[in-house]
Amino acid sequence: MNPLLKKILARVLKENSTRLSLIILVFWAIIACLPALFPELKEISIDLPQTRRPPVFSWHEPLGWFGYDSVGSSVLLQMIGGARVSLLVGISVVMVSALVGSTLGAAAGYWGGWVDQCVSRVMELLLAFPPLVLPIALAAVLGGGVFNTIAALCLGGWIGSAKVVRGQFRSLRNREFVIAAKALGASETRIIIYHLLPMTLSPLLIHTIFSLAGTILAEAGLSFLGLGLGDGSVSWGTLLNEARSYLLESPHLAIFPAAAILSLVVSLNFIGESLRQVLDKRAASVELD
Amino acid sequence: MTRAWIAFFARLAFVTFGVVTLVFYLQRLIPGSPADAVLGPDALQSDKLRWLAANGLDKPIFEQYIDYITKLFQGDLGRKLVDGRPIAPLLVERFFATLKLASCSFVFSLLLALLLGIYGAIRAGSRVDKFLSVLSLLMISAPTFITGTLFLWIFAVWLDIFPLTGGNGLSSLILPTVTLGSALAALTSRMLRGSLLEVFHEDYIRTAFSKGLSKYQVYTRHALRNAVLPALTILGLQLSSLLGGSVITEQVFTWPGLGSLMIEAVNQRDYNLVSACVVVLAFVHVCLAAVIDVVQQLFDPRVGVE
Amino acid sequence: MTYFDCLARRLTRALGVVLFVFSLSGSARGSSPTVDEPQTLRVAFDTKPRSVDPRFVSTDANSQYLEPLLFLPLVGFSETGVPQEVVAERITFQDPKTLVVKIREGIRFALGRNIDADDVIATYSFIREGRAGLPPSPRRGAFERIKAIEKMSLREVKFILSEPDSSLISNLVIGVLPKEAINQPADELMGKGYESGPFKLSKAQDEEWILSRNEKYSGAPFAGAFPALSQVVFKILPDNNTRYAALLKGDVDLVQNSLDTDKVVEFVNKRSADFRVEMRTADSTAFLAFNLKNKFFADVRVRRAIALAINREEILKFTLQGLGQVADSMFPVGHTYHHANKMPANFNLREAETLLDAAGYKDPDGSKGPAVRGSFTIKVPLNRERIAVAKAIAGQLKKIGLKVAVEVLEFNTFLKHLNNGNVQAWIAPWIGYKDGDHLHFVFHSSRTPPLGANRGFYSNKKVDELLDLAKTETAFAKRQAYYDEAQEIISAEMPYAFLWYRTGFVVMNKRVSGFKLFPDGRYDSLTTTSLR
Repeated sequence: MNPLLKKILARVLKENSTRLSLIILVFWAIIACLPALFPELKEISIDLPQTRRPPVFSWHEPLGWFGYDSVGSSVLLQMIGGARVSLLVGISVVMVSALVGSTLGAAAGYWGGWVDQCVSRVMELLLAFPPLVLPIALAAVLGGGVFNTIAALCLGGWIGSAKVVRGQFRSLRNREFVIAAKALGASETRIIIYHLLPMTLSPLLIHTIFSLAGTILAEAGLSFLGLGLGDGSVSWGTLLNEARSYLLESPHLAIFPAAAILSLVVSLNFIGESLRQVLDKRAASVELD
Repeated sequence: MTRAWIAFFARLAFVTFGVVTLVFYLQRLIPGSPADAVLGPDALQSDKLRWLAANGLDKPIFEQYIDYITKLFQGDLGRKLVDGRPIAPLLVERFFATLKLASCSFVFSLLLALLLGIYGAIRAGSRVDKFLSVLSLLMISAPTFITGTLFLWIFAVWLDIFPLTGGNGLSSLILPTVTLGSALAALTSRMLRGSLLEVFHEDYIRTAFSKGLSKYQVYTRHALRNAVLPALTILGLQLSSLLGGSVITEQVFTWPGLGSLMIEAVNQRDYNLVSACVVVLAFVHVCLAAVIDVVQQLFDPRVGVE
Repeated sequence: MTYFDCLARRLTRALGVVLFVFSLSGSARGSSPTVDEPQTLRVAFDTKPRSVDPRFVSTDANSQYLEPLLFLPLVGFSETGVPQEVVAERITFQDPKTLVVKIREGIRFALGRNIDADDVIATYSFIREGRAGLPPSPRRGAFERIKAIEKMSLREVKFILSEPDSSLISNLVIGVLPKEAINQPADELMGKGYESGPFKLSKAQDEEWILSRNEKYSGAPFAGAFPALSQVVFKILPDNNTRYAALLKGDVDLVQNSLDTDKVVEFVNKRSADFRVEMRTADSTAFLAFNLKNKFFADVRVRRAIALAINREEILKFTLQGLGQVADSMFPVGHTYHHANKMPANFNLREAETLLDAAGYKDPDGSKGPAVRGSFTIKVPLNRERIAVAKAIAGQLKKIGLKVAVEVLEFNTFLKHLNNGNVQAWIAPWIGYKDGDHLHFVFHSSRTPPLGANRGFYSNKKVDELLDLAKTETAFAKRQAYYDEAQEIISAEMPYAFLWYRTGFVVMNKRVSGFKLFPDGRYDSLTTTSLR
């Protein structure tokens, strides 16, 4: 393992809160992978007589641990499936955004000029839309479904990463090591990929972790407005939205998805925060000296 | 100065124009026709066509676009497709409702953030500080439709001390303000705490103390002034997005603001209304961005005009 | 004084100033306009009425409920759906192509003038012809067969038809406007004295609509008594939970047909000390419809098998909390055109499987195995209850080896898919039907979209013939016989798997008395309602 990485990891893991967060994250990641390993988990049966039955704590009925929802499906199974969908949506959006955003941001920051103008103007345009309007409109155009929700959230998602990368590139492009590399005849692609990109990785990583938290919340928000997944797939957001009607009578429907979202988002925020504390000093020093 | 003004107007024109174009075409891609929404699913096809023609929606899309742009350029926001009423008064009314909620939440969040941020910074590392930072992370992470619904049930139904829906004067403002404001405050207070901690180590703070200034004077006049700067950008973004109508909070509290208006308009395929909302908000967004730039300069003369 | 006391005090003061400024602006703008008079009833609506202007009322239910309270129509309906004269005194078919309407004497608009033939003609002519500069009326479809409307005398109007249309009487429900109102811009009829009904419109906004008593009302007893209420406030609360909470809290006094069913049951069981609930079967028929152009559904055995495999009692019990009654035909028991189906699709899994086997859809590995006989998608609009029903049906059909997916669409998109035939099966209700001619609109082979609501492309010559005959026949008993026969065929061929008739309900707090529940959900009994 890279010694630098090791050092960073050790620093990050020094705090209990971060360690706990990481455990939670790994936990949800494992849960999300379960349906792929055990296809039985995908078979969520609908059993009306179980409608909104509260949790039962019995070893004989593991499906009932979290109770049953408004068509008598096991909340536990749906939570597992929901973990998959929520994480899938979140991670895909963040990955695509980071990829697209950093490419455009890098181009804009490195070359400046008309490339920068183009990218910046597009970002300005998208930012001028009232929040959620673009995802709502796009969700209406495309219809529901996991893929379309991802597309709708990506539309605005890439801007953040683009801004981060563009800023870094702008401050780095005239630094000595870049000029030296140029003088040595390195191609522009080489400079971008081998010299500049590594320097932007840490701020990009921090941004990505925070925006993963934001995306999971945004997906839940879209579901709340009824514009999320319409194809029958279940995410924590859809579960939570459905539970809103039964907050008083059947709180078990809301508690578990709410706790799941909260735990995931909070731990992402904790990890992002401590990464920032460790990495940002380096990033900042690169920027200032 | 003149150059700055020119740049501002160029930006304004570009953004407004771009947003109109984008929203104009995007909407027409949404399946479903406004004629269905207005005349009902069981109306005659010939009437639907007549209605479309009466509203100029049967022309080629590019022609419609030119018509719309021309009208907009003359300052005419047009009429609602759904009932043919003029859009401008409605928009003004809804904008005021949104403005009311936005400014209250903003001020509330700002004050709360100052209190929490400064406390956290001065007592950094204490138990209270740790508690506050966990609390603020929780507040950032909780979806507003859950906190809002909870507040509604606890304070409006169970304790019965606030009204259930918006539009009932001051008391109906409090729950949505707290819902929106506390989430924002959490973010701002964390930023503020961080930057205050950095500032505390600067020489001029030590100098200020050694001059014999009181704690209040040092922290507020010297430290805060410098620490607020990085938070300003965030605050600007927050205000801008608040003015765009907080769709979810408005839905939860039945607040008659712009956010719920836009959702309604999208669902009814009221092209004119959606476009008008988006254009006006884009306009506000650009103006606000300019104001924030100016404010930033006031706080920090080092930031020059680009 | 510590630093924090000082800081906190200053910040609190700042917040106080802001709130003070807003309280000033709030009171200056008069944001709380509804003065609670003793006789003000507050009703929760789920959606804003789109328009109560009789020229432009379309299919949205809340507009249709308010219209007759404001503008009296020629014809209303009895509880069972039989046309009843309101402004009309007598309606007679001179021959199948000529309808003569005699207008009652002495029913006045609020502006003081009697309703006469000119007003009726002006109103109906607008619907038929429209006016330049005004949008077309969404209601024109019902009057396509009218050739001309003629004035016979001051109080007599003759409708001349191009083809016989006996359903015309049940369409004469349009609120009559004074002739000078016809050229007014859309939705600008407020405060001009055009109302003839028991109430006047005094506010129409996004968050609330207010009707106040029409002091000059003269329609009693034909259109309800002179109201005891001085004002009715309709609060527009789109969110189900908010309506429920508003009722609990006392922000509204009455909610009709727009609460989650489990909340209604809760009011009955746990809150009967403070609230009164009334229920009765509503004119609301839920169904699962099939697109017969789809090869799978083209076979009647498949449709019947699906109907047999849906355990409607179970869904009613668990998903709708018992607020419904199993349906096997379009019109509910008690409705004039109700037809008792002789082949009800009573839940029977074995028969369903036999039918599917016979149709050639054998289960490859038995009903327990994972392989399926067939699969299809049910589309539903975004509505929590309908989604739950669709999921429940999907769960039940799994037991006979059918794999059913549920796709949720936003309402207008849903409609677009339906009208384009881009759908395999869907769940929807019919509500507020009155005349048997509704069957023509839904099942006649000429009424496929965009000309009608035959969205499943059902076609049967005999049914077409019967529905056409019923449309031209003016004698009630004969029409009823035609509709009975047509319904018999329809229930055997199952273009729809009828699910249930909903139970209508009204939940009121104990202050309200005299409100009567109607099967079609109308609010006409507001005239007899009073508050304690």
